[in-house]
Amino acid sequence: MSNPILEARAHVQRDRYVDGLTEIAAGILQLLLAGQIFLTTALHGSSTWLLPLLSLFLLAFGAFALFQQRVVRAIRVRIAYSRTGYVSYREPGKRRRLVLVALTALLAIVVGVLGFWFRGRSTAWSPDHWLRALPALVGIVSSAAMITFAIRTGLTRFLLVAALSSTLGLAISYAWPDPKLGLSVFLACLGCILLISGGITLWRYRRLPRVPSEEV
Amino acid sequence: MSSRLLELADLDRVIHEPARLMIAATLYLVKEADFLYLQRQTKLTKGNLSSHLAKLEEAGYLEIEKTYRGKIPLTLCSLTRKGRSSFQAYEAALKRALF
Repeated sequence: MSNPILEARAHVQRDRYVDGLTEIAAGILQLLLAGQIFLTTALHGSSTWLLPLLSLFLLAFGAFALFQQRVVRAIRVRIAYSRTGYVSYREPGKRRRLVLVALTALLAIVVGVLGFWFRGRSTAWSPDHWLRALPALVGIVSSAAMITFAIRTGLTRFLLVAALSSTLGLAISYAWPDPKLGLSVFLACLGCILLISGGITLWRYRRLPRVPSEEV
Repeated sequence: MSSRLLELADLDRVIHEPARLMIAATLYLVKEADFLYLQRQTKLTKGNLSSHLAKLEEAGYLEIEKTYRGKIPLTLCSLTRKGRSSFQAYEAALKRALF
């Protein structure tokens, strides 16, 4: 028997991503992060361009991470509220935050333990091994989170993003020769996937008719 | 008759009405929402939604704020503390009786 209250919950959660703006913002952050890693790999340490370019990327990343919610809200006021109405979501509660922190800590512990285990088994271990495994790890973890989210909310496009993310992560980890460059390519691809997914969603959303202002 | 089933007789009738239950269930999950958002979620007509919002407000479960976004009037609705606890109690009572 389906629970209508749970259905309402899924509906409200789904509405949060109805315009694709959240994905676009996440995609931009991924691209900026990929840019930073790419710069440190592509440019030589003594290059005069490295510091200014890296500072620029860091500044852009920090500023966007800090203000992305405001930017998204400002755009949403212009395009979304006249189509689907205004809604302000509740901040995550104390319990939910604790669960998130606990999950992150658990993941870090698992990764650390695995690292020591591999180090003990392999004589030729180096930090590059971890760097090489990172795209696969990030791809699998993020796709698991996206699959859970897609099932809970019924947003099937996240299943496709999850499949692409894990496949790409595994492929790059397995086949890319330079681990640091591989990581930046993976993050850039993931950013592009999110941008495309968010962009298509936004384009389709903008085709919804606006409600006349006197009816709001 | 099971005592758990008898609890159904004590359900909050303000929330129990289907349209008001939809409104309360939606507002329980968000901080605040405007009239248009609620209309989309509940698929109620404007008149119907207005009358149910008024009933929830009358019971002290809902707070309605009339404001403007630029020159556009905006009706913001949010559940009061009493409304939130009543909805929680309603949900719990329904679960106890039916599941």
